[in-house]
Amino acid sequence: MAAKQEKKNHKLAKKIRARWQIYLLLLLPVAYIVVFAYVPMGGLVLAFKHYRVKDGIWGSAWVGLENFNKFFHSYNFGTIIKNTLTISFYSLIASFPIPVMFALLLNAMRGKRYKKVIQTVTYVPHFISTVVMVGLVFQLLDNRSGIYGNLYTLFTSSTAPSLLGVGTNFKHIYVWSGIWQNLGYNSIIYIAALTSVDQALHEAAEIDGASRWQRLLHIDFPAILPTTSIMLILAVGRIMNIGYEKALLMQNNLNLNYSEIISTYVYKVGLASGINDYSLSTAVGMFNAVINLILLFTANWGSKKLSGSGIF
Amino acid sequence: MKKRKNILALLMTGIMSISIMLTGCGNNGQSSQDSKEGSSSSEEANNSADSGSGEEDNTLVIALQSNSFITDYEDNRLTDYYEEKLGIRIEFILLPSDGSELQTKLSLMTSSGEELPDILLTAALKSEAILQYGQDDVFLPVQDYLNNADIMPNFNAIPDAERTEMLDSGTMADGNIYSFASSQENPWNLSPYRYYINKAWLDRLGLPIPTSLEELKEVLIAFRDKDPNGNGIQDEIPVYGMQSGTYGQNILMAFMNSFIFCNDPVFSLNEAGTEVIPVCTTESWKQGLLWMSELYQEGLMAPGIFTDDSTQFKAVLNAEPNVVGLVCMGSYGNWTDTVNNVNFKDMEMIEPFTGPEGICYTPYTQYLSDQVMYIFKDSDKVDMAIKFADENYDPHTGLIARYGTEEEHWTTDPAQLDGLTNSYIEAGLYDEVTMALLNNIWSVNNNVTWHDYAPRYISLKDICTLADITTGREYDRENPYNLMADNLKFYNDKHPEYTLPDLKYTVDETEAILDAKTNIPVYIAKSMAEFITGARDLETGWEQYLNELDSMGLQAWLSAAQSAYERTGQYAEAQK
Repeated sequence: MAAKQEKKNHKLAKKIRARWQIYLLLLLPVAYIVVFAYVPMGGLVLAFKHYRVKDGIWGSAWVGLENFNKFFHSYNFGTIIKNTLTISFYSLIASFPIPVMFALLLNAMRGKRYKKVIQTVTYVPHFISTVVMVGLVFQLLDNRSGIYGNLYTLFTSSTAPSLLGVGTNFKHIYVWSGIWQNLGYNSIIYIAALTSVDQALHEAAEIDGASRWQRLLHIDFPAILPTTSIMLILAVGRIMNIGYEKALLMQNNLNLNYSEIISTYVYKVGLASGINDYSLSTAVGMFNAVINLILLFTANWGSKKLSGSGIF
Repeated sequence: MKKRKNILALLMTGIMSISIMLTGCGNNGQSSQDSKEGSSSSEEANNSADSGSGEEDNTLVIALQSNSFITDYEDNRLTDYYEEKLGIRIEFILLPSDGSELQTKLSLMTSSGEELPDILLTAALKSEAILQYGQDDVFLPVQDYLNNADIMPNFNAIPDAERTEMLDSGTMADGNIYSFASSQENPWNLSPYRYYINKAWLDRLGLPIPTSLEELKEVLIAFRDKDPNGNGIQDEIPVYGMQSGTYGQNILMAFMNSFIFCNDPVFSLNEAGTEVIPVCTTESWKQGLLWMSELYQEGLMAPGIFTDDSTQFKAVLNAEPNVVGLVCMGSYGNWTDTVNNVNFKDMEMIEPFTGPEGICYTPYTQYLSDQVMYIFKDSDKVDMAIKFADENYDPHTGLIARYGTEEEHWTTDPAQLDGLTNSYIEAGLYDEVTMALLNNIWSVNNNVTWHDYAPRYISLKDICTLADITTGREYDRENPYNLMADNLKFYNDKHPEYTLPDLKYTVDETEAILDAKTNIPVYIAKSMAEFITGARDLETGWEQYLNELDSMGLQAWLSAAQSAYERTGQYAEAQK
């Protein structure tokens, strides 16, 4: 066994020597991942300790799973988990298919210039920062001074009910403003995949009398299916990482029951409260990451079973 | 075959990354050791330099909470003043102006092991945080310096009563003082929940100023129905406020004080001043919520109270035409350009309302000096830092740091003070003006001061005998800048004899109540919003609310608060 391993190592070394230029190129990304993704992981040890600045990371006392217990038994554990799951699955289900459909429709459109204009217009919002974006949403949906409020008053001549003050609206506003912001940007990859579809296929189908719809269904869609499934796995891998900035900025006292999610909780407990509990914060973050990892493996397994392609 | 290759590749990457990780860690350990050695050797070098050439390093590194009004800290008159007077060189590390961001930054600075500055100037730390940093050996205990008149002559020249208050407010539960205080007592800041009612609307509708909640409700209904702003649309907001406001904008707390006294939504004191009570669980609190929820159901209270931030708050106040009937806040600066603001001209400051049980209070907080300066324990320039702190307690330096350059921004020249007056003097509380402000640099861009973050002592008398004669602020009965005397009359005495002072928890207490302390205030604010808007029914939901508070650790917090209170001087006094 050892001999075999050695032989393989030897083989690898030989391979590396043969194509060292490529491995040299690889070095930089690997170093990046190691420095910024693997080394910080060492900090996870905080989750099992009672961290005090004075004692340092290694000097602090071990407490086993106490921090996890504390989180599981905290009064809002149920709410936080429920909110996190609701918002993540809602946003996955709502925001995943839309860029695909959008790309297919855009691809079927004729005027080339018109197409370019639409594409640019839809992906520009992606570059708006979260803070500005949330400000925009608040302005638009304000029931007195916003477009929503003004239109409502125009048609009914009474003051509009507040949308932002109803807790259950939080998830819709959160998800759909996200879709509006990222629709164009997320569809770029599909549009790129569609341009590589062999035109001969389309010509042949046209000769055979296929309608536009049939061509879309039988040529375009299968062509982007592998890309779609990989994007889906990636999306599932990110599912629990709901951007905390946006949720945090959108929180108010009326929607807190619906908007407190794991990442905002981690931020509040760990950094913003003034009296910091780094250990609890790390434990909660780690819990989040573990769930994420499980989901990622599940999605990859499912994708391989269904379409035969996965990322590993 | 292909599969096996894949597995092999995976394995190899795994091994590679692990080995890199290990070597990375190894290197880390080594390098930190190196740097330790490095620092110790540089210390040695320092020592030898000290003993050798006698040339001292006179640089003081100051981490300072920045302020957007200050355009430059390096090229700054106050910086020059300190440098010249103390013979030092100041180097800055600028921290965020926002308090919670600053705390985040400070936690990162102290926990990441980077080299810390010599002193920290900020008003953002609460006593729990100060105690935590003190116990973690981040801050230096300074009581021995403060109590030594030879080392800190200026501090020890402060009148006894005020100096004692400054020392008490800085004393943590472990008996140490880690901070230098700033004392600038101003009655204006003690009761910031000041009501402003739309007097123009009252006059138009022929209604008197309401004095009780009952009368108020009738007025509000008239505001809602009779189109007092005369634009033909029912766009009036009878009651407006901002629950998330931190300087008197939370009108819910103001209303609650017509039912029970509270300056904090969690705890208050009983009548005798001997016991801490959880005010958020009392029957009076429930009555208050009930009354407010009736207002809300009638459409008299805007949902914006619960959702708006300060930008939206200002936008509503300054809307054209005026739509606000009753609002509450500490700073009339929310009406932009107050003196000339047409909406503000409609408004009049009024007294708090009497509740159904005859209670008429306003949230009132006992004066407490701010803790503003800390010395880092690792600093090797403690003596210099102490000298810097004491310099700030020099009365003249205090004025320069707060108001700017003498004769340009302020004056005490009797010739110039002749004939000046202010609202406290007009109200007969003081005899004469002792100082005049010539140019206001408080809220304009400048590089003359560091804004407010430094130890300081300015007496109550000095603040009340100041005449502000900067443009538009001269004394005149009609001038909105002169509500100070009315504030004294309307608000400053509307509180019970005993109010809850700032409580200092021990480290053990803090740890036991940490979760409760982070969660409960948020939960109460959220529940207030839900009960008032009807998202949660008050009758059926009240029991559950109490149970949830208990499950969040309210009782444990209460007993910690009681024992912390029993350590204060006020408790001993109330016991007699």
